[in-house]
Amino acid sequence: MTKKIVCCFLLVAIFSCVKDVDFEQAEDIVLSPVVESSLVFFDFEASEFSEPTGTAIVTVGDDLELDIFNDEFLRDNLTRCEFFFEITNSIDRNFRADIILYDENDQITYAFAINVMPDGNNEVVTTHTEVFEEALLEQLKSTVRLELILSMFPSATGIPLDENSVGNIKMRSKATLFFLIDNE
Amino acid sequence: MKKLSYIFLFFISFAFAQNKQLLYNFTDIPQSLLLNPGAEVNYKWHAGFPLLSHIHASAGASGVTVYDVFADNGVNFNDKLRRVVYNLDRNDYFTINQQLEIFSGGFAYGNSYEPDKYLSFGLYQELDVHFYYPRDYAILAYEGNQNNIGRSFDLGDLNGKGELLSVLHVGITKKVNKKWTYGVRGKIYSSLLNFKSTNNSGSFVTTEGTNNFYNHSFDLDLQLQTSGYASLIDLDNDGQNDWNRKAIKELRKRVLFGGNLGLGLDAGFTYHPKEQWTITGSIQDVGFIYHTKDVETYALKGQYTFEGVNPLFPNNGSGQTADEYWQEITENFEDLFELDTITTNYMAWRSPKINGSASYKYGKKVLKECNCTADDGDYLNEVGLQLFAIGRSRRPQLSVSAFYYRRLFNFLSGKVTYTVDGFSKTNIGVGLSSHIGNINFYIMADNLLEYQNLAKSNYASVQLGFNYIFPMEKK
Repeated sequence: MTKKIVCCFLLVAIFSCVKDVDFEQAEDIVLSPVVESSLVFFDFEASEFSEPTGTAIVTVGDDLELDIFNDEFLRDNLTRCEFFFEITNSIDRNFRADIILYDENDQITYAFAINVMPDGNNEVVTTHTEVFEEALLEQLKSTVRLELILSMFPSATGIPLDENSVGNIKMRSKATLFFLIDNE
Repeated sequence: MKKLSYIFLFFISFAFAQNKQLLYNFTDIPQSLLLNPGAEVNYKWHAGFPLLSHIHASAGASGVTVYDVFADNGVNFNDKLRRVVYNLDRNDYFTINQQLEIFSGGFAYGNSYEPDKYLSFGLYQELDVHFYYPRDYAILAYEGNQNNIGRSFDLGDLNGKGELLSVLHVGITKKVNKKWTYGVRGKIYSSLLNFKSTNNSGSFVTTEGTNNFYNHSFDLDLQLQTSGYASLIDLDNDGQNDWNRKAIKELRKRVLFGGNLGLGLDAGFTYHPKEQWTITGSIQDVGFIYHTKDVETYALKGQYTFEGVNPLFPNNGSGQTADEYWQEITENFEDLFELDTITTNYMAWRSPKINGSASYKYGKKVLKECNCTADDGDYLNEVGLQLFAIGRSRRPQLSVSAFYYRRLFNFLSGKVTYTVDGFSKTNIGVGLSSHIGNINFYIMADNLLEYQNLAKSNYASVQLGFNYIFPMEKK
């Protein structure tokens, strides 16, 4: 009797099971987080660009190490990247921001420019979105250095800039990273 | 990314709890003394069959089942996953508990006519893993920060611990009189492996910035304490099989006093306010393990706010060159995410457990000869309520069970429980204990309603074992 009961119990235990499930599905896992990060910013007054003739091109520039796109995780899982720039200008001059990307051999991988118009000393907001996808994204992934060059062009009216000139040029920027993390 | 999905699978597949509502106060079975050293003993001596006297495994996940994630129902896996990621609470948890008795035994002593004390002892191995669902980490990984500007991700959501240990114990049960029995059990723990990450805090938040679009604030205070782990990783490794063999050999060495040692105490009682009423209570594993050998703690600590890079042209007056400025930012980030490895001793408390019950016995066996009940016979039925609580790093977890115990035949008794806890509100369990000759065999399983498809259950447990029990002489 006991044996029978125990046997029944064991049978139930053995044949209890895990049904209608498919663990292979885990292979289909796809995560698609979107991460945003601040990038470069600056805010310069007109006086910083003092230029007594009113006819010169003033160029300033800076270099940034930017090897994050080389990271293995990003190389494998980043599917799209956008750089968004917002430049607010109240200096009565034309500007151009050049963004130049270099690989580890100091070869230019990609470059783009943002032209900024003035409206006297009124604030003019210029925005620019640069999208990196597919081939362009691959170029970004081989980037290790970013150079930012800001050029100020001569005044149409020939007015020089000095310590008392008014206006600012401001830049804010961010990167939006679109990931696709899957099993491949 | 394969690793990611396997780790995920592991997390979802296993989760065990420690409640042994079926075994508690099932006094026909000597292992009930491990849950309450003050349980009543009605045999002269016992010996467990080595390695077979108590096998216990249980798994549970609050708030999610294997079926929720892996159901073969045509719904896209990622849709099911999303539901789980968002529906689980930060206090939802996963637990695994497994025990294997290596040897055990006991004998009555004291007054030679009617021994009033029972000494029981043994050695068992236990695996206990418990972790909370790291909700904010999951959501951050799942959707990123773009849609969460202003939301502070709580890094304290990471909270878990796991241990593999052996427990050598000796307990004494003392029957004071017909009403009172009490007992205590001392334990020496030998920890084979331990990891613990329960005191994490900090946050990550992206807010609207002033100079740039965003401020990213990192505030990290995270720590993972381990013992017994570093030396395993350092084992010579001639392939995975070789490593496995060496690791098992190394772990086996730690079973008897070879690991990090600790002390613990169990105590309990049984009280009959009236003949048919029983009240019991016990507390288990009030104890700690002091980790001194092979300890390694990994810590991440620091604060940093990043709002982007401010190029230095033409001149910002700081006197820094662009390169110096950039170096400073990268160093700040490196400092922030640098994992410090520290080898300080630490104390780990065990998770204490409390059991209690109140029950009523009734119905004596009707004798055929006289169609009456035997006055000195045992009652055949018992009904009651049991309470179980276990201390965990955030808050105790509770469960309540109603039970019915019945002596079915002289050689067979059974217990049915209905349990409500954090895992489910419909947990029915059955336990049977047979005594054939002096051999006792018991088997118990939980969550029978879900037994046809365990994938749909939040919790399941099974316990079984063989003992040799020598009964009291009938007076």
